[in-house]
Amino acid sequence: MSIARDDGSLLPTDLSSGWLGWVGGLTVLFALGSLGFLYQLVVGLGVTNLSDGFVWGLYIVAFMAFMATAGGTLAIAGAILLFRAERYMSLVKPSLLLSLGSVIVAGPMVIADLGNPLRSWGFYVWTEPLSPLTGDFVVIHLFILFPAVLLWLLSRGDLAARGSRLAFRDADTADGRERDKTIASYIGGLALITATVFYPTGWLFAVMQGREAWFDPLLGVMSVTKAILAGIALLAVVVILADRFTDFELEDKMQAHLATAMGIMVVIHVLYLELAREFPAAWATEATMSDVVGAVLASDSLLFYGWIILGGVVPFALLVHPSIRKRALVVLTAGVLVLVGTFLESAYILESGLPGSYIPNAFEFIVMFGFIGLGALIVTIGLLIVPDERTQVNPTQGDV
Amino acid sequence: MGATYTDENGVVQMNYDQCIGCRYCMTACPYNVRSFNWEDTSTDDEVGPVESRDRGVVEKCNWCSHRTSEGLDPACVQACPEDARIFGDLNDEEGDLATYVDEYEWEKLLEDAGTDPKVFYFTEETPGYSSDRLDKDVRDAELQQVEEMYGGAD
Repeated sequence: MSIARDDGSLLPTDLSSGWLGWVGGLTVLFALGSLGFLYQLVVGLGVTNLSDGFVWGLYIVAFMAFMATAGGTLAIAGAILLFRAERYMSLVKPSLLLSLGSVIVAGPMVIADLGNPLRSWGFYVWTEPLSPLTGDFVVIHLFILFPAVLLWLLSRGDLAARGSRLAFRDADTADGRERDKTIASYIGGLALITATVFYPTGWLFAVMQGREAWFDPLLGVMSVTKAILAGIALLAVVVILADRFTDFELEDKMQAHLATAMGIMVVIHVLYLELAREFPAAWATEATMSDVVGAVLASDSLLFYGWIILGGVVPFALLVHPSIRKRALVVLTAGVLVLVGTFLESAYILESGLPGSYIPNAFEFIVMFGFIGLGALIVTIGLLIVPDERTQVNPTQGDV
Repeated sequence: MGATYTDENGVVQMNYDQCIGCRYCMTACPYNVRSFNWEDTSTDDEVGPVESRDRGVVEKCNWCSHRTSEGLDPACVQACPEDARIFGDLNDEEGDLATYVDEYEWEKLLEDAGTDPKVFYFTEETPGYSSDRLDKDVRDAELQQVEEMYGGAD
């Protein structure tokens, strides 16, 4: 897509009908989801298929999955900035946009899951420092703050060059850009630590002593590896699509690096850590190695097999051979499957710890897809208006 | 959110006005004894002076604090046809409950979890509640008190 951009404005002046159709579709999706959410506000959570046994469902699954993509993409951007990995710098802004878009899905999903969403302001006044929920609440805010501040810092030079007041600077200078980049590397380091060391979503479950399936330190650790895997997958999917449908250019080498990183994380997260969780108990109770393997792979949950196969085995098979993984369609497919696996994994974790049974109803899907539409809308518009890292406009040398 | 608290009598209570309905406490409760108000709660007058709560909040047994604060037993204790429940003050060394805990074998649920539960399950046959409790006059007096509390409802 070719876009004419007026240098004095953030918004392009010429947009293709395909782009407008995509944005229009997302807007309709978001409008439907918003209506669903408003209806739920009126009639209550009784409109969902949740019950006193299965108290959390699709909304929390979506929250877990999108917190993972938010944390993962923020960790990627933070790592690139902190370590000044210049060759990956073109991935920073898409990563930050995806982090922002993901948390803008995750936040409303957890609000939609509240019995009293209108009391969510209570988070600010009745804060319980020791509650894991407080940790998640703080991190949701940081996941919004870090990408927003970093995107602004990294776009500041371009904004100044176009004379935008949003730059809060009179002129675009090389020194100014360098200073902004230095500050961004420090903030990126903080973002990386927040998205990994203090990533609390998995610990929400792992600290619950009363739920045997969740009370497992490895679950907390795996929430971080899940986030990194899901972040790489979402980034790969979006930059491949952006390369195809927008002015964004993805180098072949970059795509290969993303594919390799995704393959490695699939092995670590899905094929090693999850199966390692089951290994000690199987080793202790089974007599032969084949019985141990059988016990490790045994589950009465279709979600488990769906996750391991669709989110682990198939992506691994697609990504393992260099000659296959160099194809964009293969990486795109693997990325989508990993993201499907992230959803299935989140659903499996919920299912393993909660009594009873639950199948989400159409209403819950409408609300969820509505907020996914909002996140996609933000990323789509963001990719359009946030200046690409390589389209610099010859900054003046030295300070003005 | 701090909507759950322990009152001065050691009873875990809910502040319904502070509950946002996240249900984290329901998933964290190892006893699975909390429930959520998925629909509007009953506003029937016959429920008596029970604290009102909105749709979308979690609730749990609070030992009928509206009754115990008036010196009555919880409703389940009064209603139990086998007189299998005893309610009392564990600190009252002369009371029925402390006597039973001293004299009979009991166990607590999930004691290993360190939750320090205050419900005792007697594992040997006990003679039942105090003889006074079974006296018809005592029961009639209790029912009269309940009737007054509930505003004369049936």
